[in-house]
Amino acid sequence: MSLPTRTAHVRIVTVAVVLLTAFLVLVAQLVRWQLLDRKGLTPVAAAADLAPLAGRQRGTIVDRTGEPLAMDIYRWEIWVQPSLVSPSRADTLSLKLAQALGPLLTMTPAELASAIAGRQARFITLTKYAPPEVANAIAAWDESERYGVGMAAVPVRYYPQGPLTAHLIGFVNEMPQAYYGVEEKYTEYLRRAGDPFFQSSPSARQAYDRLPPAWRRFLPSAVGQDLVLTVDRRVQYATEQALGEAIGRYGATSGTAIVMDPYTGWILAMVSLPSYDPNRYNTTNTAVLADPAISVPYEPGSVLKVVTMAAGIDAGLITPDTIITDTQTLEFGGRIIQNWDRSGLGPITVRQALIRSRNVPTAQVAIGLGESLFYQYLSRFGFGQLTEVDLANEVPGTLKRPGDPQWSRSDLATNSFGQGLAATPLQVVTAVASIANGGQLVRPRVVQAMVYRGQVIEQPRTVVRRTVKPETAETVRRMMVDVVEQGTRSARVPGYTVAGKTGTAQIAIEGRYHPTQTIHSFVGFVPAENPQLVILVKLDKPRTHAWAESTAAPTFAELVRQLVYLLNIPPSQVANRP
Amino acid sequence: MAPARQRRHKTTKHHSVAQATAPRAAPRRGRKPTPAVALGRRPLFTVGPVTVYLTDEVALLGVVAALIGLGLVMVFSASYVYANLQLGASDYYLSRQLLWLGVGTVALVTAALVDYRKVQGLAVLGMAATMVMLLLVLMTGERQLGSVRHLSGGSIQPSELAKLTVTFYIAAWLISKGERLRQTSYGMIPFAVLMGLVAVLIVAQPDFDTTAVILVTGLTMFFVAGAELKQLAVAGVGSAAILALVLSRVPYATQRINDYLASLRDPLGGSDHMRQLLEALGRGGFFGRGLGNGLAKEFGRLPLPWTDSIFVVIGEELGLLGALSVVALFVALGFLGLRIAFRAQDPFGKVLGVGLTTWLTFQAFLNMAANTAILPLSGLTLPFISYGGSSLVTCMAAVGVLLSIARYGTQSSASGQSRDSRPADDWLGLAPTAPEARRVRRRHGWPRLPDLGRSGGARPWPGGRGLGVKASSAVRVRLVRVRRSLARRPAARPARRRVPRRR
Repeated sequence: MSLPTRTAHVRIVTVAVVLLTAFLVLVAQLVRWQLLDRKGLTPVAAAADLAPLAGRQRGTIVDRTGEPLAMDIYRWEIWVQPSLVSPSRADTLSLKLAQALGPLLTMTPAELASAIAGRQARFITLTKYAPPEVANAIAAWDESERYGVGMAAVPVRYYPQGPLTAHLIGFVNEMPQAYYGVEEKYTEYLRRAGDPFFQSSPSARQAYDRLPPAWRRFLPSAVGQDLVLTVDRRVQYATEQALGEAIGRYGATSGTAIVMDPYTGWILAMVSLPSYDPNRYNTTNTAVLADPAISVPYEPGSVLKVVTMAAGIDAGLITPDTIITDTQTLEFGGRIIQNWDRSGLGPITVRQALIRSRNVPTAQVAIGLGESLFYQYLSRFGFGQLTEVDLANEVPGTLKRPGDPQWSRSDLATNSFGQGLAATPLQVVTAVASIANGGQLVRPRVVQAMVYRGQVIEQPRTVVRRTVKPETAETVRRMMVDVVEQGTRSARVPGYTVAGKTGTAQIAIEGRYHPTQTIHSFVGFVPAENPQLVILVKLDKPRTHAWAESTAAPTFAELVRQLVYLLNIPPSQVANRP
Repeated sequence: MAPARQRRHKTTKHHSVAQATAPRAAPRRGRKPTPAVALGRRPLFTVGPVTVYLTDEVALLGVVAALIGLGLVMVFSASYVYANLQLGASDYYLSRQLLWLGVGTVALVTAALVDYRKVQGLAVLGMAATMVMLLLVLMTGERQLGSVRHLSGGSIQPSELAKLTVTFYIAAWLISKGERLRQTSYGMIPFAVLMGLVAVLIVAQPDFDTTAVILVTGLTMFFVAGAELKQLAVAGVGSAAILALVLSRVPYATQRINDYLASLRDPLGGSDHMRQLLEALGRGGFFGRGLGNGLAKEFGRLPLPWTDSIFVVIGEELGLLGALSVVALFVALGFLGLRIAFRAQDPFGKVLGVGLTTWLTFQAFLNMAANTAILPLSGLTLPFISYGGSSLVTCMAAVGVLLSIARYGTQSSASGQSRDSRPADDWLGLAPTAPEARRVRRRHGWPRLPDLGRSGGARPWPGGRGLGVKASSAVRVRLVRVRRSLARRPAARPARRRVPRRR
């Protein structure tokens, strides 16, 4: 005998035991799926119909009050599979489909019937965007009638606020590819790559309970990769209304307004007009798609005097009471500098120079600082660099520095009052916010929190760098209050102390300045003693008035009146007034 | 003989217990009363003078008949929708399956009537034919569903036939090695080469599932034939490693493995296929949706519901009850097959029986495990149940060989009468009684030495044919010496004669 029988027998029994164990595992798994785990199967299975949509679905974007700004809605693709429809059934099925689909069906029932009976195509697509009612009606048919008809949900991006948040959010095309704004910046985060997120799972319910109540209305979404913006829809609306009204009243071609929290860098509203409807992005003039607030730099004009003065004070060169002689003209670097009224006021204080927006004294401060210090300060305030706001397609503007081929010495003087350099509106707001918050350049933010599968991931406040000493910021802040109180009185708001500065800049075209077209802007913060909002209003090419004092400043005041009411900002104490 | 000693020991123990607990006088002489539970003795039914007892053979036939019957019903249920719409005849698959059932029945009966030991020598021929067919299929076969598996217009699957012939051949080969199986150069290395050759031919199709079945079957036979455990472990790890390497090279296999790993984390979130399977099982519940009422077979849900996924159709339509019945039938098949192997008196019968049983049950397990998210998805048929001619015929032929082993290899015949001497406590029927063993030896002359002087005579000694190469005279002389030394051993160990019969 070739093998000891006993060994063979032991081994045969071993084989039997191993096989039996394997079959016991099988029994356990069967019991699990057919009895124990069965209950949880049905609802999850229904939601799992979204499984093949990976890559097409995107998360929901809500504003800070939980109001949806971008979300997926579902349309249904409906098709017929002729191979599953017996020829005798083709006619009745076509009629029923035509009845259910109505105008969505592009062919007649007879054409459809012959197409089905012909069996030439494997699938006949009837419609790609049927509303849920149609799909539900077909789903309610008897199974024998429905056999051969297929339906699949197709996510379609929907922007409930339409043009109001178009520039901020951007849009998603059919591919789906995201363009502009939050959609493009967070495109990878928003796009579902893995498993769908089911709100029926226990962990999802826990996460839901931890969400702030206001956010729970639309979060977490079925994708589970959602964003909460810093933007407040009401603030955005008020800003859009005020800006739109101003554009109409002053005959401007376009405009931008930004409302920002100077401490956190949160952008509460960012409006650029004209806007477009992101739900109809494909019929939109492509010129308006980019957000001018971050993508179109302009020459800020006198607003920049605030930065120049802050630099002078911070460097110890001047104090608000330093006397500078305001001459009619000043020649520097081969170029003649003039004031706006082409006059000279003689010896005036620095404070008065800012209040009256004098170019010549400001240029003298910049000249006094010297090239290296002045441009160092401009860089510290963020000019010529990206603010790194979390929006797509931001541009850094242009700041020629000493050493650049295009830079000439005269730029030192002209830059001091905001000509010869270009900055985006957001850069200007961020720079002024650093005066409001005591000298810190914060990184502006649009996204307040990521809500990943119901877990809130707060986005931290980021301070890029210190611009000026806190004392300097305080001094400049008081000077800016004086500007509004004594100079630009049209920007005052009853009950609130306002700090701000106007800017009226000529538009540079082909290396020269346009003789009549200007950009009017006003940047200010309120309440001045405890700044909560930094606001920029910029109007392009207003025709009715020559100076921003008459256009942008009153628009700012009007906007502040509405925002302090909307955001419950208490009025300034009379005793607090500087 | 070892079984005799074992037997004696067991009865002694039993008697002492019986005497201690049951004071009734056990008959010391004559036959012990046998309880009705003794499987081998229960008369099933009587037709005229013929009484059919529940023997292994009858039970095995019953199990297989139940599986095939259920299979026919389910093949029709799973395929009629598709067949009606796509092929214009709802019984398209059923009628073909019935045709193959006829072929399979012929194969089963033939295999059962032929003494498996007489065709041991044909193993080489069968193996050679299989290899040729496997090579042919690789060169000329049609590509279906991403792999080449069929010959002659898609009707013959050589890899199905390979399971049968390879099992047969490996059993013959293992036995031919005798004691030398334990030596690496005689056992392990040629075995590895042999298995590797077959595996390469089938993997190349590519058909990993059949390869896995053949490798596991071969290793199990190697194990039972007396392999050194260390060698076996090396062979097992080696083949698993090679299979894993090949798997990682083939995109669709990698995809399936990845799907499987994903399904371990979240069974419903893995692949769509897996989700469909589990949903169908869930829809079935305990009692099922009723025959014909399943949704899983609807077009587009599962690929080939009448072959690969037929178990899920059963689970959906007949519920947990139906699915567990199938599992129970396969457990019974495994039990009966292994018991036949256990009772076989010659090593060839033992190893062959184990091989055939392992093949059938392991393949069934792989299929059902894949359909219940235990293992990655596979393209194996569920033996006897799935649609597929080659599979049905080879599986039925395998059952025929098992019946032949039961018929010729064990002392007991189909009548069941001769098991009367089997003691009552041995209800599992695991041990042949001493007289059974003796009678087998008497009838078959084993392990008597063959008359080496004669040529062309019967070759009762298991072996000698080896790999089918005729031994040269020098080798033959050496073989004679080896055989003589082996033959002397039973004489030097006279346990068989010394132990007197107890009753």
